Amino acid sequence: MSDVNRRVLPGFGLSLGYASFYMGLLVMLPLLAIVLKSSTLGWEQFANAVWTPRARAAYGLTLGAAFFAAVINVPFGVLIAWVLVRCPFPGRRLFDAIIDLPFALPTAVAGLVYSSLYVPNGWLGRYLVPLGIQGAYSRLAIVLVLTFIGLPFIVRTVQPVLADLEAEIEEAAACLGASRLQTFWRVLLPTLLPATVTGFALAFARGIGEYGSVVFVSGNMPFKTEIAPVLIVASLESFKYADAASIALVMLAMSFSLLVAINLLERWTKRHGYV
Amino acid sequence: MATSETAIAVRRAQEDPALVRALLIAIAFAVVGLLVIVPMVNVFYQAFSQGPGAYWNALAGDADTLSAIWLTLKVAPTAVVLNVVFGLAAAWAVARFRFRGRALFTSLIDLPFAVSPVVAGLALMLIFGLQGWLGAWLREEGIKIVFATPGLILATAFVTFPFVARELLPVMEAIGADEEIAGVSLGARGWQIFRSITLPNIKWGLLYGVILCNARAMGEFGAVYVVSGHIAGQTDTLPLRVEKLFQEYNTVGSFAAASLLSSLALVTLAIKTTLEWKTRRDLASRAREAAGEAVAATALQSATPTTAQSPVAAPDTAAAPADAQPTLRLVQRDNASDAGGAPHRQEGAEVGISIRNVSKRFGDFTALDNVSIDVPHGALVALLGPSGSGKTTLLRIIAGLEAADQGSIHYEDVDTTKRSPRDRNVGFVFQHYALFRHMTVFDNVAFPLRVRKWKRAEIEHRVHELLRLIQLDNLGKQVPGQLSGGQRQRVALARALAASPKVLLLDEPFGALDAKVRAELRQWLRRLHDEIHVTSVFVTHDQEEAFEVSDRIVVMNHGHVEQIGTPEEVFEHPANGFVMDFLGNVNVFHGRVEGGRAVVGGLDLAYPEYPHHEAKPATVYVRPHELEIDRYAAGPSSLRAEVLRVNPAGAAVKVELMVRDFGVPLNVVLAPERYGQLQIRAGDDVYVFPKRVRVFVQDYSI
Repeated sequence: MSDVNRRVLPGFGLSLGYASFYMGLLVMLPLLAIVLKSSTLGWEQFANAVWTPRARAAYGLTLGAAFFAAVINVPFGVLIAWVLVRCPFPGRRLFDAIIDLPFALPTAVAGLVYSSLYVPNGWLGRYLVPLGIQGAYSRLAIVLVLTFIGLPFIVRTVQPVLADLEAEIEEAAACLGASRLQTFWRVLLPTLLPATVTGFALAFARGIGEYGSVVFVSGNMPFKTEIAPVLIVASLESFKYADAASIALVMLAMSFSLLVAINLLERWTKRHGYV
Repeated sequence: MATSETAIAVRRAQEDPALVRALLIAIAFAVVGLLVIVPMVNVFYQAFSQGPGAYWNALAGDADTLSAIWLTLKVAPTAVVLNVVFGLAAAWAVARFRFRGRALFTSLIDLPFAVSPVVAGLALMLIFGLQGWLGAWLREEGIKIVFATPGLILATAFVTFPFVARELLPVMEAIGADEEIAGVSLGARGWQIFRSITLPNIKWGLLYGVILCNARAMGEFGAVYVVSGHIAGQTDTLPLRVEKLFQEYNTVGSFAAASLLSSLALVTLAIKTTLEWKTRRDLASRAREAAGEAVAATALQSATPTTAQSPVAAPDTAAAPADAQPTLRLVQRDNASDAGGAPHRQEGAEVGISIRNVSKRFGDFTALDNVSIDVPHGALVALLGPSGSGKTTLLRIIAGLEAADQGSIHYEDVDTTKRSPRDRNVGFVFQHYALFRHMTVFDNVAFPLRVRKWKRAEIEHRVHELLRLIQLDNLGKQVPGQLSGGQRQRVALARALAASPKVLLLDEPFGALDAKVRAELRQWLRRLHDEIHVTSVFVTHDQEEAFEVSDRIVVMNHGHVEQIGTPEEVFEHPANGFVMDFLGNVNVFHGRVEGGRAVVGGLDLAYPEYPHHEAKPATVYVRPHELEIDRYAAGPSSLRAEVLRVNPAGAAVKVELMVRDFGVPLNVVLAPERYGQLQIRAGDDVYVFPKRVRVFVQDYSI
């Protein structure tokens, strides 16, 4: 397929050229601006900007909340994918469609409604708050809304792998004497693992960068419920551009390493014939 | 108990017990209900909590909310259009071409997924903001980017940038380039291919990408929040307006605005589900067709090889009366024959295609090594060889779908080596047809004429003429999915012939069909060719097919031409052991030649072609029908053998023997009459002698 197509099909130069140009202008150039802006600070100033106690608390919260939300999503995501593929019930197509709602719903709406559900007189808060569970304006609130945001990532990465799984695999396991549970633990789960990890990483990455929903539910208290993107906005609003850029650079570094990890994982997965 | 469970597990290994299933469904509903459905319902509940009048007032009675709606309707579609153009270009480049840095390019498309929207907004501020790189210059020029609509568009485009490309890429990769390449070979140009082949094929995927991109664009918050400046009534999009109302403790107002965005999300999901279903159905039917073909093809391959008997290989029933002394005709060819060297010109015939010294390498693999062939004008030539012999590569080079590393291709003495397939005017029939699935049979056949700007009436006339030729005149309005494999192949042929090509090229044209259809189509192709006489080359690995259809056969192996000749020539006078071996059943013996004799096991044959005293290893080939069986020894070359098995089914009787003296199994084919005379059974002792053998001395040339 390689050089054949370039010889036969038209438009290689035009399409790649335009796509690269657009991507360079719209995405690469602005990101470069962040790197350059933060480099106007000296090393010490940079360290002072990105490593204040307040910033450290914000990184910790951002990573921690995104991580916990993604972890919560792993068992539920796999379970929902399983139900969608293996357990026929009336209205399954509708159920399947609803899973994508967190993709399609504006994050501001998610934040708005999550903040109203868990307040003391909210639909869920009126039962939870008396038990001491603060689901709004707390760290738990951030985890909850990030769980909502991340749910489709794991379902949608695991679901196709599960659907493409050949019946022969399980039939063979059954013929070889494995019980249903053994088949699940020893055969199915290992097969689904790469997709699950990819979905986890995607949900995690999305959670780290999430802003719209979190500002509504967290209360944005420094050291307590302030996430890194909120800190960037705060720096920006006090016209500390270089500080904002430096914190953004730290966030970029985190996201990039995740992106690279996801890519490596997918390549590894393909090489080992999972997909 | 345990056994019955196992039995169930074997019968339906993928099905969980009903109780487990119910539990799983219940948990799934609980999770999705709590996380997704309850919040969704709550949005509308809160929006209408003060009654529909308050809801209406919150939306229509609030000028800032109204302007936010309009701004969103302006910003999001603009960003989507920008990203659609990008997505099409990027998907075309990545899905259709291989280039250095392709993997990097693909990962860069995903970049905005990993960048926090706030960071994206900040980046735009650093460039276009008042203190940004271009800030001072922009202010002088009076251009407002940030705190104005252009900034909102840029921020939205940045964040939603991957969506269209990400949706299109897998769809385009799954569809493959076959139809587009077919379009090129039929004479379509760049834009025509995109508009009439690619776009109809990806339309659902594209629409899906657009819908998703639009939903995210309308809901974008973080990046827009940073660059908007929050000027009420001017730079607040709907999500920003939701936030502002929320900060103002205007519950009904914020939830009413949110309900609009939620409805948008729900509509998006409904459309998305429908489109996804359509895309999946399209791709699934493609996959099903491909799989069905593959199954048919493998079934054929496993059925054909050993039992195949070529037409010219019919047992010589008149030969060998019982008392006649067998005459041994020794045919000797050395392995380093004239294969691949000088062009094989047939005297007196005009040359239709001339392949001169063509070589092609793929990395370390040599697909073609200095191949030269002349195809006579109007002839039907088969390229025959095992897989990996380079025959398909050669065909693609003739078509211009592949470039030769060295050598040249001439059509009737015109050098076409550097021409594109479009300018060569070839008809190419692809193994899997590559019919345009979204077009009717008529439109498929008309395609090469339309891209050549034929007049409407002429197209009509020509297409009907061709449809009559392939006997499908009544199926013009069907789409390819409704046709059988054989019909599709005929349509592919008609389409290739439509623009009256100089040369017709067929790549394993019958490979994907079942045996019966295959046989019919072969004869049909032969008759068709006798009518239209277009210079044709077809690739096959099936020797029976090559013998039945072609005027001349080019036997290829490891990128070399082993022999060129008429079917009879290559069968009766194979140039070397490979050709002998490849064309039908043969008994192979390994022995030696020395001093004018060939010695193989118990056989000692006169072999005057090799008078030297130095012994050389040699291989002796005897075709099953060139062995004679008798009850009595008929001379010194008769060998004693035991009958192992007799298979009298079919037009000829197959006998398996074991030669006693040197433990070699032999396959013999007898005419039924001869079998009737002999009355042999398994376990009988008989004598067997060759009527004709071929000796090939290794590395020996005269």
